[in-house]
Order: sequence, then C-alpha cells, then structure tokens
Amino acid sequence: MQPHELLDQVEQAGLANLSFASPWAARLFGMTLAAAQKKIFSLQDFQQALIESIKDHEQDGCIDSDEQYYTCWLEALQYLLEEHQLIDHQQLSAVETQIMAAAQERHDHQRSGHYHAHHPHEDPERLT
Amino acid sequence: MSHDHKVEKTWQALRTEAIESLLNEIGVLDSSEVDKVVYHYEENVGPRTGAKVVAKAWVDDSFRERLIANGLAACAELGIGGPETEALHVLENTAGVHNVVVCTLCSCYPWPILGLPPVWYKSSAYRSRLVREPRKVLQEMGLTLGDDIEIRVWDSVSEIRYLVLPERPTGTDYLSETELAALVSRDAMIGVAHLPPHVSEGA
Repeated sequence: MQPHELLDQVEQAGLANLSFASPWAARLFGMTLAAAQKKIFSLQDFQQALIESIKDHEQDGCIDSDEQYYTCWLEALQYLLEEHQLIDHQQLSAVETQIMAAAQERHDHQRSGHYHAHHPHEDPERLT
Repeated sequence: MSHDHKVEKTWQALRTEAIESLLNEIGVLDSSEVDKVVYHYEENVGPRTGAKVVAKAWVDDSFRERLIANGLAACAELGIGGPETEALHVLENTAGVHNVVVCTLCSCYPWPILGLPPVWYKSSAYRSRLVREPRKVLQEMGLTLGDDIEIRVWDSVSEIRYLVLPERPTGTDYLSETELAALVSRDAMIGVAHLPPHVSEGA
C-alpha cells in the first residue's frame, strides 16, 4: 500500500485525529522534517517561524482546527524556503497553475470514460 | 469548459503540492525522502510508542531512574527516538503531584515518542488557558483533581520535550509489560487524564 492511499483512507474513516488531518498536512510535516534532516534549515528555525505564523493568525481569531493549524505551518515553511531563496512567489504561482491544469486534464479524461484509475476514496471501508 | 466540471483543491493542498514539486525540481528535496518521514509517522510512531516506555518504567526500577535522569538516552535503549527531539524530560506523577504539558507559543510535542499531537493540544484555547487555570481546564477535560494535589504545568517552548509518566493503576500487579502498555493512554502521557484502576476480566 502506498502512503498516500493510507492517508486518504485514514481520513475517510474518520480517524484523522489519530494522525494527519489531511494528505497535504502530512506532506508539509514530511517536507519540514526531511528538510531539517538535510540541514536546509534547523527545526529551531522552523519552530520560530511557526510561532510567528501562529501569532499572526491568533490576532484574527482562535486556532481550533487542524486546517487552521497546518495553514500556519504551511505559511511558516513557505516563509523559511523563501528566506533561504530556494523558492519564490512567482515560481510558486506558475507551478500551481501547471498543477491545476494537469489535474483538470486528468479529471476531464476520467469523466469522458477513457480512463479508470483506482481511487482510494471509492472504498473507505477497506481500512477496517 | 463549464464550471461544474472543475477540479476542486483547497489552496493549502495546491500550495503544498507546488512547494514539493519545486523542491524536487531544484534537487533540494526528493519526494521519496518526504514519503519516508510520512510513512514512519503513519505506520511506526504513535502513542503506543510512549506507552511501551511507560510500561517499562513501571516494571523496571533501574530503567525508570535512567528515564528520569535522561529521557532520550533511556528511550534509545528501546530503539525509540529520532533527530526531531533533542532533550526529553520525563515527569513522574505521584500521589501528591500531577504534571501536565502544554506548548503556549506553538505546539511542540515529543513526536518520536507520542506521534502527532491531537487537535485540542494545538488549539488556542488549550494553549492560552492551561497555564492560567490548569485545574479548571483539566476538569473541563474530564480530570478532576483534589485541592491537595499540586499541579505542575510544563511549557514546551524550548528544545525540551516532556512526557508524563502516569501512576501505575491499581489492580495491575500481575500484568505483563505488554498488558500494562495496553492500558496507557496518550492523554495520560500529556497529563490531561488519569489511568483508571484496572479490573481484571471475570472479576
């Protein structure tokens, strides 16, 4: 089983609280730890960035969901990577556009009936 | 292209995917390295890891002493740990002292020992209120402590991570280490719950 499928199933089965709340949260967490292991930045630097991001969000209201929390995480990671000049805003927007276009193409293809990939969301019961 | 055929993706999911894709492209990070971390946290690490440490401390006095002296080194004896935690301070609950852990500024947590923190641990409410009114917050979470019990709140904002060593429940004298580990809950290791007395099957 691929880790992605597992995450999707865990989420579908309502077990989110036991692990990652969403696949993107898992990827964020994984990227952060992997980057720290490779000494791209230290976890202390990340922690500082996360504290700042949480502080900003809490000026507008409380954090009471995993989505809000990992949104702070995302902003902290993006900030650090930009600070280290590994990525920039413009590049990010360009890649986002490519990703959406590719996803749309796959989606249209599926709808027209030419393509039937297995999708883990169809079978959430399999986890049990 | 009509709108009802549009692919839905939250902006966070999209941004995350774009960051990963860019890091791959410029050779900074390979997705297989990210997979490894995620898989490890999904499959190998979780509250059961911490429960093993607690059960071992209950049955082995010399291990407990080593655990309290140097949490990380003692966990490493059991093959538990990781580069994510630099110091682990184990807090032993007693009849008169109850320990509870929070991270007021963000959400520091002993990941390699307990896995990922629950949602409430990261919430503004828990983080802002626990230090101010621990007895009330614990009560709201279902743990009522008598006035004679001292509550010590530990804030993880630093490089130290904390693990609460709960008191061994009564009625567990004849249980094996594995059976004991099964009784230990994540919340007890954060300090927001007690472990109930054990009632053996058929009793």
